[in-house]
Amino acid sequence: MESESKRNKIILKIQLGNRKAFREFFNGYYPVLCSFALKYLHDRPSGEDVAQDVLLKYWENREQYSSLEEVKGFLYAAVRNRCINILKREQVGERYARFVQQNEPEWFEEEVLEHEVLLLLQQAIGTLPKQMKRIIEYSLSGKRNAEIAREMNIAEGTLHKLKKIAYQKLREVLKDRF
Amino acid sequence: MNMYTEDYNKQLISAIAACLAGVAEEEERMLVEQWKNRSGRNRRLWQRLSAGNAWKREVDELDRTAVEEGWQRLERRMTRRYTLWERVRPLAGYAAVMAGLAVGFVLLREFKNAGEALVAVEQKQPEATTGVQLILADGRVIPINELGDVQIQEEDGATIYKDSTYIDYSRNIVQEDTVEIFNEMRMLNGMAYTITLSDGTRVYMNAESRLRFPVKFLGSRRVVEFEGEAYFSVAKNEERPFVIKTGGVEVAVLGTEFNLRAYSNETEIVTTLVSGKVQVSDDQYCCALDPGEQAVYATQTKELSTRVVDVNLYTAWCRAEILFKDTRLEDIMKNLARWYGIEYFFLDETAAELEFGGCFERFDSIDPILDMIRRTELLNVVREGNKIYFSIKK
Repeated sequence: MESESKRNKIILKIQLGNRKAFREFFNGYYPVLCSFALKYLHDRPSGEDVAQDVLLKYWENREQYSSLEEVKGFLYAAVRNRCINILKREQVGERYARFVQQNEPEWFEEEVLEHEVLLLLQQAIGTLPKQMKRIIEYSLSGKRNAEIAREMNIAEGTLHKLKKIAYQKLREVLKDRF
Repeated sequence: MNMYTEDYNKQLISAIAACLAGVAEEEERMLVEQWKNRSGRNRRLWQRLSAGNAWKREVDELDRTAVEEGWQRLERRMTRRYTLWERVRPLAGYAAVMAGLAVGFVLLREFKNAGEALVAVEQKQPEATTGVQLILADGRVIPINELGDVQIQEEDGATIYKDSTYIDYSRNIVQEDTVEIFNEMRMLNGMAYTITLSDGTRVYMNAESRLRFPVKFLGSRRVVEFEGEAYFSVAKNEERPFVIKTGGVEVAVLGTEFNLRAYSNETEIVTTLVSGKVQVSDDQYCCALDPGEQAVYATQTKELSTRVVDVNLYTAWCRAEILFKDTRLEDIMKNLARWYGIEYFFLDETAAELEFGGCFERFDSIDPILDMIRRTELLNVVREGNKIYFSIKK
């Protein structure tokens, strides 16, 4: 709950025009919104444009938003609307646009959920110290402990301990996020 | 997603993440299982993310986004909008548009070197229905605003007439004039109200003011006690001076119009004479004012001084206007707080020192005024309930 208010605090700071806070928010959401837009557009530069426009819009209207939920609601919906408009404008994409619109509502929710999960994981892993991050990455890629220990040049017993701590830490961070 | 509650959503996101990372607890695993079983879509989404740790590749993809570059690009667009020139132009345009729409509201923000920007907004009717109390001699508290047009019977048989905007003591006829009995009018915030005393003197009281007065004046002087701000229109009676006692100062008048500001939480008692003659005195000094003059009594140092002023600035409030000229935002807010019953906070000290000028109609809400301040693009203004926060736009 504490971190919940921490996350909302960032929104309140942004609301008051704090650029540093907005920068921090941008670091987290820009990649996610780019990726989200890509699901519609399949074109990296246009996806980035959309994410930029939408985040700028949020900055300009920041005074209206006082909770993360509201901001998220706005950002995802705004990306979707812009993307659909772009698809409609482009003749080539017309059929695809129709397809998107027909299947869109549920699909949209699914994508939002997915991106929120990814963002959370990215941030959680990002908070780990470098060594622990590597351990987790290695074990995710299916490497055995002995293998990891060799690659990282540490004793297997040490790896065992570090791995345990790393997972504990990840667990804490994930739990703390919401 | 809105079919679920926010809380559920947050838990679900967190649980899915924990399952994917392999650190989930039993409770979270169950939550994800339930979600998976709810629909084929959910199951497919889960498979897509979990198969061969696909989520990790997606996360790496996020990490590869050129965030720094993106930020620089965005920041250029953010900055471009905040040059001074761009600030002024939209305001001027707005004024021009609104001028065609029967305007009743003007705000001047006086840019120190860049001329003036004029802003206009349509007018709303001020609401004047909250917070007046009349306290009778026996201690009965009558909430004025809850009554319609009524007559109230006082102890000595005096009858008090009131309607929604004024109360009148001048119409009653009391047979025996023996002893003065006192009533008290209390204005809560957000309210102005007119009272007519038994001699015909009209007192238009501003918010958070208090007047104690006899139901009928009997002695050789007409004496009332006052705190707050009011515009007095004193009925002429050369034999019986009208005396207002307030915070160590007496204001004596024969028949005149003037504004008196004597809030107990302010450091000055200010008497502004509109017409006629008044005399302001404490226990040592005494000074007489001519129309257009103002007496300022510093309550801490007990110094009394006079000066010539623009009377309009000090009496605007009783024409349901709020008028400021080169006034510090903090002083403006002090006034508005009284009228609208709000609290205000300056997150940057310099925000309190910004000077604004302008003339507002009184609205039923402070929001249009806050909008005006916002439009100067100098401050961030955030309202949360009745708390208002100001910070400098960086």
